[in-house]
Amino acid sequence: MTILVEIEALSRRYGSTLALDNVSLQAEVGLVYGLVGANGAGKTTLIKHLLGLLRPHRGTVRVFGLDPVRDPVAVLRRVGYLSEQRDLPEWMRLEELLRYTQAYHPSWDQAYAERLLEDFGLDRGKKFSDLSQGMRAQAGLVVAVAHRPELLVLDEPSSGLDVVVRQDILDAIVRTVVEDGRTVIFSSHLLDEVERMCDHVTVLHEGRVAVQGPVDEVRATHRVSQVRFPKPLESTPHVEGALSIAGDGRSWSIIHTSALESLREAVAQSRGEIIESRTATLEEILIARVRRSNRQRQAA
Amino acid sequence: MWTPAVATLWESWRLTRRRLLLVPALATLCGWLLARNGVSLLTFIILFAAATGMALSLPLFGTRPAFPLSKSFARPIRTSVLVGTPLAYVFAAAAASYLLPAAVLRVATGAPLPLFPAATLVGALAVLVAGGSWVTRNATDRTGLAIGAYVVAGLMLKFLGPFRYAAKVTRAFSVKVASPQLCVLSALDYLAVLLLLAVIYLWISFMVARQRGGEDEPSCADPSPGRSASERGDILESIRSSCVQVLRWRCPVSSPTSAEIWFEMQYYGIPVLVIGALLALCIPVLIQWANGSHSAIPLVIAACSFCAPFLAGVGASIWNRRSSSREKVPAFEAARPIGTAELIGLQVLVTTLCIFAAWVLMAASAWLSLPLLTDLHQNGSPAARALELIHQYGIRLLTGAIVGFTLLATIIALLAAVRAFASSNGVRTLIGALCVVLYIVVVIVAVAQGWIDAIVIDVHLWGLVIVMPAATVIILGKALAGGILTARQVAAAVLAWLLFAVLSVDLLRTEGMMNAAAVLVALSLAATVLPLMAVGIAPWSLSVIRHA
Repeated sequence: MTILVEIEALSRRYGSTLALDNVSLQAEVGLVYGLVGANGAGKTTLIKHLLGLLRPHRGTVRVFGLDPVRDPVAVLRRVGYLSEQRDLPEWMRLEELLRYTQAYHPSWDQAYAERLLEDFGLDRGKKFSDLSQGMRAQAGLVVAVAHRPELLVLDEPSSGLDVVVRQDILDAIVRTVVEDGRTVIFSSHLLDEVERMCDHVTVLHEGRVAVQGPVDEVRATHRVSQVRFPKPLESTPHVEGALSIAGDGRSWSIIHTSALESLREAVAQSRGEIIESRTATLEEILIARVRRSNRQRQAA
Repeated sequence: MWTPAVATLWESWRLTRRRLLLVPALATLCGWLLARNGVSLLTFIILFAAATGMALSLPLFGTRPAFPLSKSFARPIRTSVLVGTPLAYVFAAAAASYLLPAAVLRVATGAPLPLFPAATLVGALAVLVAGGSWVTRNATDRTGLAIGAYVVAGLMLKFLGPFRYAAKVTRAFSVKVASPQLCVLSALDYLAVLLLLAVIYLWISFMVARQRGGEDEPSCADPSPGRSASERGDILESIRSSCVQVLRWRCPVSSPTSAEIWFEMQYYGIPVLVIGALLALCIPVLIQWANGSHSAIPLVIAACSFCAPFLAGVGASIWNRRSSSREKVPAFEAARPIGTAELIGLQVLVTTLCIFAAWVLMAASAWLSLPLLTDLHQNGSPAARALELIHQYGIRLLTGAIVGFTLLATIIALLAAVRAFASSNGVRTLIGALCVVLYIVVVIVAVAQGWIDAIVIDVHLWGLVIVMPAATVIILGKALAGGILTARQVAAAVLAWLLFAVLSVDLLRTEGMMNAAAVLVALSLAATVLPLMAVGIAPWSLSVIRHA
């Protein structure tokens, strides 16, 4: 399997804030990678390192085997990028942006661009100052994918897109890219979207990788179990291997990474029993991880 | 008690505190150096100028157009309080920026500086500026109002106390001593100022209420909320927007270079040319006016207008296109698949070409208009005279044009570098620049006062002679090592620089500069490496913010 992106022990600091702390990530060809995390988790910072827009303070970043800071042209030529800010020149018309971007990319696929414009219903004669946030996102998406990049990097692509466009067109674009044997890395706070579209997920929390791996694997290793105790408990029960415990009285919901048998044994010590257990959703995993981290920080 | 008015006051202070602390402190320091040597009139001028600068800048708060505290529109506060509090703050802060340094120096050195009348004038000027900029989001209207405010301020200065003594002021300049009589306001003058402030307050309140109610729409030149560079929505933005509307052509797709040149020309280059062309049309009118009125003022205006294309060119064209986020360079620009050296090279080239072309247009207009000045006796028509000069000095003119063009490009590239460094290390760059300026002032004052020998200046100049080439080598080496410049680019730059150096030396020789003092000759020769330094430092500095 060809490795397209290789990030090793990447750290980045903004003043006294550690934005990324020892983050490692590898992206292979033909897969969709999702970056999820709360606001300020470090998703955009990580993406900017991929594009060479930020210089690593520690660690290394390689894209196509190249250093994107030292060799930005060779890297950026093969990358399609949609920024979170949708920072496009106000005075430009969509037509002009398409031609301007085309000049940079010999692999530009005009027919594909036309089709996407039609799908989005965008008027190519309009200036960006006249476009809504959603239309800007759509325009940005068109110029990011129309040159058929080997690596598509999307920073919060859903932001500004309505649910229909998101489910129909964004999904289709990502699928097309992957079917062509290319790679997508995208950040999102919409976890159902990540779950639906990604092969691989990296959960970031406060600049650190909280969970990483294939989506199915990550989900399989996290379970939500409903536990019932014979008598109401006055305080949160202590259960080995639990990421988060919520509830009150006799019924408690536990998100855990430990095996079901271990949990059963741990609960049995307090004469409790598991009445239901299922794999956790990404949303549940993220919330549990963030809460645990906050608890640990408060305890420290 | 934390009331809405106090909260607004605190916000006003938070947005302006740096300059409010820094500028008066520096003015006091300079004033103290002068006042203790008995140059009290210059002290007054410096304090008054610094305070006037504060009065002009304080009301602008940040870069937000129109009323600067518009984020408070959604808060439960009455418009009259929302306007009155910052307006009172602006008046008091601007007045204090003169009053406090003047009072301190008056006590410390005994310099007879005027106090309250001058402070009142400064405060009133700040309120006038606020009146010109807070009342509308429409860029064109705002620019017109700002000009109007300056005109009123000028009239105010002319008719109020200090300038009724115009003749005495002129005499006072010759005696170098300030006096409280320089600035005197009668009770009637104070009343007039108060009335003016009240009218401005009522007007701003009315207009801000309109903004709050969404009745004041921005002009087409005003930006969408995306970009702070254009958020200023000033006259330059209006010109750019209009130029793009009128002079639009298709972006070429043949190469990144051609697309980049199109991008630079379309929004940043063409407006500079248009400004040059418009001013070229105005110059004959000014010369005709000077001839008719026998006044030098129109000629001074015509001469000063040559600054306009330069300021318009460097104002926002080079890496000043901040995004709405905290990024120093918008992602749209930073993520283009083009090398930093190529990108800045094209930007500098387009800007230089446009400014140069604008200047040529203006100079040609001035030259052709010279016969309008009847006092100036010329032989033959300007066109014939120009041909004659070209025939006579053709090579030297060409050499001068090449050297001038290169120097202009160098200045633009160095300014871009300073701007890039300032945006990545704002405070440190500012402190560094201030230290350098202060050091130069101290050395000059020390030499002028005879505290140290004049040879110290020569030593500094010789130091510069050594530092410039050495710094150039280091910078180019760093750019090369960092992969910002390739060996081929450096080689090409060195070859071009050799040509420039030969032409410069030839020009210096023909102008007789080689007979000047040895240190000046050495300095002139060393300065020829500046273009080469710019080749290294511009992409290096931009790489610092592109890959922050």
